[in-house]
Amino acid sequence: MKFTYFHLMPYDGLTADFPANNRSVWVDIDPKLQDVRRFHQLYNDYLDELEYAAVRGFDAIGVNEHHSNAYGLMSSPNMMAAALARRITDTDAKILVMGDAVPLYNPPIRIAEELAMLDVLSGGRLVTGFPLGSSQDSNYAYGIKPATMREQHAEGFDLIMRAWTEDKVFAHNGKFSKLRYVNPWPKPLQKPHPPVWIPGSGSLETMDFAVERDLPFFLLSFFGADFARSMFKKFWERVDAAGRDHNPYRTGIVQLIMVGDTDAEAKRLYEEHVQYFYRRCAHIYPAFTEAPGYKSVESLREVLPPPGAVSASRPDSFAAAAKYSWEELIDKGVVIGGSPDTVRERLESTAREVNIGNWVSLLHIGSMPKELAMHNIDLFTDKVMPGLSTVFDPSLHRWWPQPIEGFTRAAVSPVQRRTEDTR
Amino acid sequence: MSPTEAPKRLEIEGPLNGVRFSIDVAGTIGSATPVVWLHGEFGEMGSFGVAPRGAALIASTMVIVPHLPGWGLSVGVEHFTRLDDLAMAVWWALDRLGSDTSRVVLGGHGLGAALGAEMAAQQPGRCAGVLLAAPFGMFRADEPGIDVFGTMPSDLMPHLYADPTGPLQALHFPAPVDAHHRGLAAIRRVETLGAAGRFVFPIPDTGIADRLYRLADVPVALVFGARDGIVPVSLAADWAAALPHAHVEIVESASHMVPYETDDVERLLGALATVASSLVPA
Repeated sequence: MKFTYFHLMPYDGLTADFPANNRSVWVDIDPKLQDVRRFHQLYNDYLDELEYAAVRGFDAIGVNEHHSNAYGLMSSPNMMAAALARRITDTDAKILVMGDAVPLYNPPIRIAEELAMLDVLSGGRLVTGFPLGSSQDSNYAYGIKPATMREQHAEGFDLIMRAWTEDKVFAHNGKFSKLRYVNPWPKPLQKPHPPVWIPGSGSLETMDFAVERDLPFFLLSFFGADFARSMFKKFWERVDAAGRDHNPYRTGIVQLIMVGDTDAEAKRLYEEHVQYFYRRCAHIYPAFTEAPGYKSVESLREVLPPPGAVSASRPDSFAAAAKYSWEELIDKGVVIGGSPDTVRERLESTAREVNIGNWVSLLHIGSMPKELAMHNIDLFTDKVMPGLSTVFDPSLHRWWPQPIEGFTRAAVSPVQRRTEDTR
Repeated sequence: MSPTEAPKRLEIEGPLNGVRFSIDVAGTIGSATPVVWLHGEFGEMGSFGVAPRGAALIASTMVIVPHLPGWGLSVGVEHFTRLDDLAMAVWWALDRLGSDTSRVVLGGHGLGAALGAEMAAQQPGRCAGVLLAAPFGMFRADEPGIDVFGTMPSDLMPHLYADPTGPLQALHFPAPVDAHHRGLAAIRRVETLGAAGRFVFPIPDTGIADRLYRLADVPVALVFGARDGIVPVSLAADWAAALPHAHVEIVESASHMVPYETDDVERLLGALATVASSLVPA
């Protein structure tokens, strides 16, 4: 199993009455709620945590992209990854950028360039993810047409791959961008290019996109691996149909993980921060969740309640999770939390049962302070992670940075000062 | 001149591979010019193609209602992202209808009105008259109206209907009897607004204002619902500025669904069709 320390970088200043007095945490949240002085502290705290996770032995540290919300303040994942790249050079942690939402960059070679820069700067440690982007971000905050954004995503994705691998200047005559000369400098250090993962929120189209290209599919769910069983069943059916293998590293999931010395201690430490996330950060106006056309009618029919059904509410939804007690969150696997033994056993059994190799782990959530996140990191890396890396041996992770033959990573010098500057 | 047969539905394949138009034709080939009705972003609500709502119109002329690709019956919307491309395709389909559509009155509602304006700009000589009801196509940032794509149906209804809980609203959007039908209604919303979004997401400014000079010699009626929350009535002034010869009618008792909330649109369409035919030698 591979573990990435992932971060949403949420704002921690939403008051308890925020849901009652505001329509949505996303898209049209009141800009007057911004406390940019607090943001300054949070950005630095969150980067501290990511760097600490790298030092403590996580396989990777991860950043992502969101817009116009208090749920995640990271509008530019590449900027955060760049801030991290020179601070973790004494570790072997990879940097997961998952990622740049392709339709939001026009022309998409901007992504090819910036990620190639990151890969070169970090010494070939980049792992990339290319999401379609949430509807809140892509459609409502950035104005991308929902009905054509998948086509736009596919065109941009193919352009980025070609820009990374083509050894001559070429022309791109696309439907969404036209470039007479495609010639990014630099190209990535990793050859043919950094590992690519495909994140999605469960639409069948995204699974097909990953399977067709022999890339891992990542479920961006906040409801845990247990609820994802049926979703991954559909994924593996598609893998079978394509004649590919059941390598567990074809799959990944986002999972909240909260470790305490005991089960009771975990509840005491983390409950309020988890509930802050589900009750305030996830307060989203339903119409912003999926713009018409964002998902196909076929995907919607997959979740159509049967005739006569009384309720269409789903247990794996933000609306449901906002009402869950700590015990329900644990029972349903929304949070894998408790003592180190409890967490390790649940992680291992779920990983084996659902066949998930990559765990994009949220050890920070909601309003959690830095010190508590670091405590969680300590317990996880000391008492949970050891031994889990071999669960899927001898499966080969074909989508992970490999050592680069003949390449030596540059040393990062301390900032040099003139003598008179230090007086 | 002879009456047509009973209302019928015609299927026309093309103009692109995978595109098929379903077109309802009703009424009488008689003394008035045929009317082409272009439905709005929610699809054809049965206003003019069938009696009783369109009875007066059908009695006096032929009414042609193309179902636009993506709204259910017609297929192939994935081939279109520009309203002018769709406009050209509708003209192409009308040319193959088997009826004389060399000169028509174009009427449209909301997105259909924006489409009608594009069609008229392309072929003004074929337009005996144009009626645009609550038209998409222009936008004021300081008075944007409600975002039809980013608003839950329950929140949208007060901006669509002057009487948001009345019988017309219930007819157009029946209350689901169970979760299954609620899901089907959600899918229908995704289907119709997803198709509309291809042309007018996120802002319904199609740039038509720059092309309306082509309608200088075409009789135009503009109809707005005074209580429209989607297409603010203030836009009537912008349309009128681009079409100074247009007849502008503000219906005080109506909202965005003005063609269905009052008889004014049907009456004006009938008048345009009658006047147009009286000006053209038989």
